[in-house]
Amino acid sequence: MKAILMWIISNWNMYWGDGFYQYLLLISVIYLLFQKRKEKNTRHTLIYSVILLGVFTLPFTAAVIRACIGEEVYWRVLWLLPTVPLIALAAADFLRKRKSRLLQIICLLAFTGIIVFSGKGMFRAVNYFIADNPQKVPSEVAYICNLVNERAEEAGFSQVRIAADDHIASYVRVYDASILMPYGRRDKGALDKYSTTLYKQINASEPSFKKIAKCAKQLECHFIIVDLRGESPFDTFEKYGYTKIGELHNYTIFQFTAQEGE
Amino acid sequence: MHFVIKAFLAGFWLILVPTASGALFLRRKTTFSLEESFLAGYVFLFATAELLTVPLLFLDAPLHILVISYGVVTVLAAIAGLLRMKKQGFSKWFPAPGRLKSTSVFFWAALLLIAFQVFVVVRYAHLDADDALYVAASTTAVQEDSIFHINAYTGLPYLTLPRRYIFSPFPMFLAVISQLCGGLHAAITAHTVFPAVFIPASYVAMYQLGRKWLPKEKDAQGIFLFLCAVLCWFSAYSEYNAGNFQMVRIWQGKAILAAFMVPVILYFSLTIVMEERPEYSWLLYAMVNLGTCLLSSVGIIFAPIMMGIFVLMGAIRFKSLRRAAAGLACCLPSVILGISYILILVLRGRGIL
Repeated sequence: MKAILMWIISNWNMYWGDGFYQYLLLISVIYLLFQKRKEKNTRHTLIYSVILLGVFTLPFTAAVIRACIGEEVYWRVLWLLPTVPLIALAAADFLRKRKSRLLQIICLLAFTGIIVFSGKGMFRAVNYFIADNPQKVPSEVAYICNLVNERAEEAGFSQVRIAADDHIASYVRVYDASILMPYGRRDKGALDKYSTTLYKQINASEPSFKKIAKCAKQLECHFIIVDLRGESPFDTFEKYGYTKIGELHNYTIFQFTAQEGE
Repeated sequence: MHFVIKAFLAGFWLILVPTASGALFLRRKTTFSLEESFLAGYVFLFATAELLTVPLLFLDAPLHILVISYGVVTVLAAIAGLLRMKKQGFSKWFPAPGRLKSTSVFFWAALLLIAFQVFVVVRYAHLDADDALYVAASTTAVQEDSIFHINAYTGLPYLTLPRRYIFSPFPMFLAVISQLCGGLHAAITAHTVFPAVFIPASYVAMYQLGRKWLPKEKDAQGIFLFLCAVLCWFSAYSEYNAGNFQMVRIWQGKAILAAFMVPVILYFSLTIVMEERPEYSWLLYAMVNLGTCLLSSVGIIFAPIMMGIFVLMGAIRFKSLRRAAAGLACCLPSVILGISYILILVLRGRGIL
């Protein structure tokens, strides 16, 4: 019982992060209870919110929902709490009762200031950047996909399979779904043990380039995109039929150039 | 195809079609607003997409069959909806200059803030590694002309059905829309077109709630919308809340669930279940449930939680078992999909599927 309660509290804390929206919600609900409870739609929303919080908090309901949606996403139940509308409603109702337009504007600015202080702006959280491609994937992904397709056409590959680390692999098939992968993000969809070994090695802080080249060849990867971490293991890659064809930022791009059967 | 034509097609399929088709489900109202029609339209579109995609997926149908059937059904509904709107007179929906003048200054401020948010999300990019599945599943479906038969991560056929996603195939909705927009790349549709539609759509849902809570108070409704926009913009205090999902990854089904569908469920619950004479039909309420299932696998659970609480409240308030029965019947899509999910688990456990 104590363990599940602690887990519920940790989900609650995780959801609200380092903001103060939960306190704004509490103040709003108290205000609405006193000022607007006679209005049926507000009352119904408040009752719903209280029941939902009960569903979220009670160990039995939490355990049932957790079994259905999974432990790691239980915090999503709090999406069902109308946090933004309830806070906005309380503030709007408060401002509605100010007769002077000037006072309304001053109070609105004050409320806006409180929200700014209680939360964190999207720009401040460094959420956005300007992409150089309309698909809005990392520029190195677009560059690598274009290069790989160009080289594959020259080499006459009918299908292309590439091996890359998680940063690149997550977006390759978003940009170009004709390119195949031996595994997906976090090794999801791995073909076999070679895929898993390749995934682990290519994402490792101290990778074994021999294992990377060997597994990539075994999995018939036409290209390997790898961060060499300052090393020059070109002979190792050559041994397995891979030749360096380019570089981009930290990444070195290898192409399988050996004849079939080599 | 020229970008302008694709933008026009996006406007047609994502704004005109939902707004027109929604009118078809507002028969109980003698007069209704474009906003109501827009919300009802999206409920219908999501429910239709779910109803078409899941059977076609199990029938191994190619994507283009889904695109054609979705296009035909929704266009027919939009035509029928337009005919219904015509009865009220089209001029009713175009704001007269006098009406524009009487619009609250706070409402204009809110619109300006929302327009800024849309500009930022459309102009800038945000990287979300979940796209490796959600967007790649769409690009894969388009590339292979298939519905969830090719693994989005690898490009190879699935060995077993991806059970978490087959009942919530929102990536197929994205693939269908990208095809209907003249073959616009699914990643462009997701990262540029969807934010331009679904961020304002979320605010339309919230505005309807504001109208419900603050009736005939234009200034207060404007203030409400403005504050909703401010609250969402400053939601980066954690990466888990609905406002943050709305601002950084609105193209994913779960984000549309959190930002758009939850306010929609709340609105229709207040206006259908909690009204003595429901403002909209129970059919629309059932479609809300079905449409939510399309968006995310958690939607299959969340929709009946929300709706169930309101149905319980409504049944107690009106002391009506009939209302309870009607409300619970509206949750049937979730129940059926939930049972099917468990059935797949059991069959797979026994090596049958």
